[in-house]
Amino acid sequence: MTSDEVAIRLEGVTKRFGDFVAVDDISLDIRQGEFFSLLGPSGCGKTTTLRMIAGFEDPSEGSIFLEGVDVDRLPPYRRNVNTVFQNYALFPHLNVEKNVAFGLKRKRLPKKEIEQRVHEALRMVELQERGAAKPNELSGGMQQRVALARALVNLPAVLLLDEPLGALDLKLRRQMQLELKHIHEDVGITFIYVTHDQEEALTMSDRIAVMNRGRVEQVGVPEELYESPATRFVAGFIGVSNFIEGPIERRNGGGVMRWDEGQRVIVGAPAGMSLGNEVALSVRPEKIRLLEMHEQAPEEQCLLLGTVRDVVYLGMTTQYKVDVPVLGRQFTVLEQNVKVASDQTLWEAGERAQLSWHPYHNRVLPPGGEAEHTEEGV
Amino acid sequence: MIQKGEDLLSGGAAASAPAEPGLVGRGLARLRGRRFLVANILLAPTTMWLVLFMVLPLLVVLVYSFGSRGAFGDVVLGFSLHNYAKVFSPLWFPIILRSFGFAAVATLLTLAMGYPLAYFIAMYGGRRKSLYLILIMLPFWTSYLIRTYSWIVILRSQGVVNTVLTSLGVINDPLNLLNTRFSVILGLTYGFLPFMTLPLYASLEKLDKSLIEAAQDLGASRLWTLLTVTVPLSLPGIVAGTLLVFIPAVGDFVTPDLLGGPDQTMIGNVIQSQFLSTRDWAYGSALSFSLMAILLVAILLYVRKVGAEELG
Repeated sequence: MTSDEVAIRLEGVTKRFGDFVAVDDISLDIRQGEFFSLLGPSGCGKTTTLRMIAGFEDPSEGSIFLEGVDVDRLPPYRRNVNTVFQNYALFPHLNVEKNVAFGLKRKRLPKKEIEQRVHEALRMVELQERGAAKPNELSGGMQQRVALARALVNLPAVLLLDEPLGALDLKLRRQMQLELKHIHEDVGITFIYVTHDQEEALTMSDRIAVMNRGRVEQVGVPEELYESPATRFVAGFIGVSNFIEGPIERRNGGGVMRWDEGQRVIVGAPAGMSLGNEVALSVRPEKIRLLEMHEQAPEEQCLLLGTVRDVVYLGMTTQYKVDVPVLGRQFTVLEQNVKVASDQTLWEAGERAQLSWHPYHNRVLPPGGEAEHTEEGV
Repeated sequence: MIQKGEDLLSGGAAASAPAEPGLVGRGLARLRGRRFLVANILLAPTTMWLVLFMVLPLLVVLVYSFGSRGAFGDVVLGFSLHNYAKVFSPLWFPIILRSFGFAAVATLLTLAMGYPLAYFIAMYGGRRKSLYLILIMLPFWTSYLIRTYSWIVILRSQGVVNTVLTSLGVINDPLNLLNTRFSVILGLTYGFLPFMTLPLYASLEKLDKSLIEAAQDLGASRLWTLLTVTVPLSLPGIVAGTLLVFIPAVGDFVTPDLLGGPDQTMIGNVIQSQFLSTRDWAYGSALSFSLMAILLVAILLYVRKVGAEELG
C-alpha cells in the first residue's frame, strides 16, 4: 500500500511499565477508511496500544505516524484523533449538546456551524430529541451513542474505540455493532476498535490484529484469521480448534502422521516443514465428519478413531466432544443437522466413531508457542 | 428504537403499579413507619446534644440580646431593640467590613494554595496519598493558640524573619511585620488552610480521571481542561472549603488579638470584649446574632449563585 493510503503506521512500538512489557515491538499499517480491530485477551496490550495512538501514553521505543507525520511527544489535544472511552467519560456537568459541542468549541468555530454540526451528529446517533438531557438521565446505550457523537462530530482522521460496547447487554451490543458498522460506512473515517470479543471483531472489522502478551500474533481479514490461523494462539482464540501433534514422515510430496488401525493425518508440504520432526496442526470442528465404524473413509482423507463423550444439540448444529485416544485429547466436532429428523437419533455418548476430514483443512502451526486457548464458543 | 423499548417498559410498570393500591399502600405505610423509627433512633444522640449545647445556649443569647446591661455587668431581661440599633452604628461598620474583607482575602489565599495542593495529592499522590493527608492534618496536634503564638516569634522585630534578613544584609532595619493587616491575614490563611484543602481533595479524588483524558482528547489544553472540566466538577469541594474557611474566619478573634494591632480589630474581638471586658452581655448577644444573620444571608446568596452555575 502507498504511504498516502496509510492512516496510522506503528513502527517497532514498545511500551514498558517498569519491568513489565505491555506492548512488545509492534509494527502495523492501518489503511485510510478501514475498520481495524485490535483483538486479544485482557492484558494483551491492545488498550495500551490505543492509548499510545491517542497520546495518553508515550511509547518507550518506536514511532507512531498519523497520516504520515510522526506524532511523538505530540500531546493528545494536538492529535487529529478522537476516542470513544470504555466508560464513555461523558462530562456529567454538561448536557448532551454541550458534551458533543465540546471539541468544536475548542476549535473556535462559528456558533452557527457548531450548532449545525452538533445537530447533525445527534441525528446520526438518533438522539436529536435528547440534546438538553444530562448524561446521567440517559440509559447506557444512549450514553454510548452520545460518546460516539461527541468524538465523530470533530471529523478526526482516526476514531479510536476502546471496548465501547463492553458495558451493554448482549442484545443491545448486537444492535450497536450493526449501527457502528453503518456509521463507519457513512462517515468513511478510519476506525480502530479494541475488543476482547472475537465474535464482535469478526462481525465488524475489515481487518483484525490478534494480540497476545504485547505482541501481534497475526493480522488479516476475518476469514483469513479463522481459516488460516498463523499461530496456535490465534487458532485457539478465534473460534475453536482441534490440535494434533506428532512426528511426521514423508509421503509423495507431503507428509503423513500414522498410528495403528489405519489412523492417519495427511499434510501438504509447507515451506520450512522438516520431515521426521514433531509437527503441530490445527483443524476446525466443522471440517470434521463423524463416520460409523463400518463406513469406509476414502484413502486420501485424514482419519482418527474416537469415542463420543458429550452431545450438545444446538438446533442448526450439534456439537460433539470426542475422545481421541491416540492423541490423548478431546476433539470438538460440529455437524450440521441435515440428516437428523424426528425419527432419527444423533450420535450418543459412549459410541465409537471415525473422525474424517480432508487434508486441505489442516493448518500447520509454527513450533512452540502458546498453549491452546480454552475459551469456549465459536 | 432503544428509547421506545425502554419507554414501553417503564410505561408498563407505571400502568400496572396502581392495580392493587390497597395492599401496596399499606405495605409502604408500614415501611415508612419503620424507617421513621430507625431514623429517630440513629439521630437521637446528636439531636439531644445539639439541643442541650447549641439550641438552648443560642436561645439564652437571643433572650439576652433584647435585654440591657445591669449596673454590675449583669443582664436585665426585657424587650428592647436598642442593642440591635447600636449594632448598625457607624462605629462598628468599618470593623464588620474589615472582618469580611480579611476573611474573604484569607479564603481566596487558602483556595489559591489549597487547590494546587489538593490537585497534586489527588492526581499524583499515588501510594503516598495518606502520608500527605496526615502531613496536612499534623498541625492540629498542636493547639491553634500555640500555633498562632509561634507566628509572633517568627514575625516580631527580633523574630526569625527579621534576624535572617538583617544578617544576610538584605535589610538594615527590621521590617514591621507583626500587628499589621499582613500578619492577621497570614495567620488566618495559615490556620484555615487544612479546612480548604481537605474538602477540595475529597472532591478531586473522586473525580473520574478519564474525564480529563476525554477533554484533552477533544482538543482541550491542560489549562482549558482545568477551567472547563476539573474546576466545575470540583465545585462542591470549592463551596465546602470556602464556607469552612470563611465562616470561622469572619468571627475569629484569636488571630487578630495575637497577630494584629488596634487597627486590625475584627468583629470577633468586639464581641469578645463586650462579654469579657465591657461586661455588656446583652449588647454582645445582639452583636453575635447580627453577625450570624449577615453571614446567613451572605452564605445563602453565595450557595445560590454557585449552585446555579453548577446546574447551568
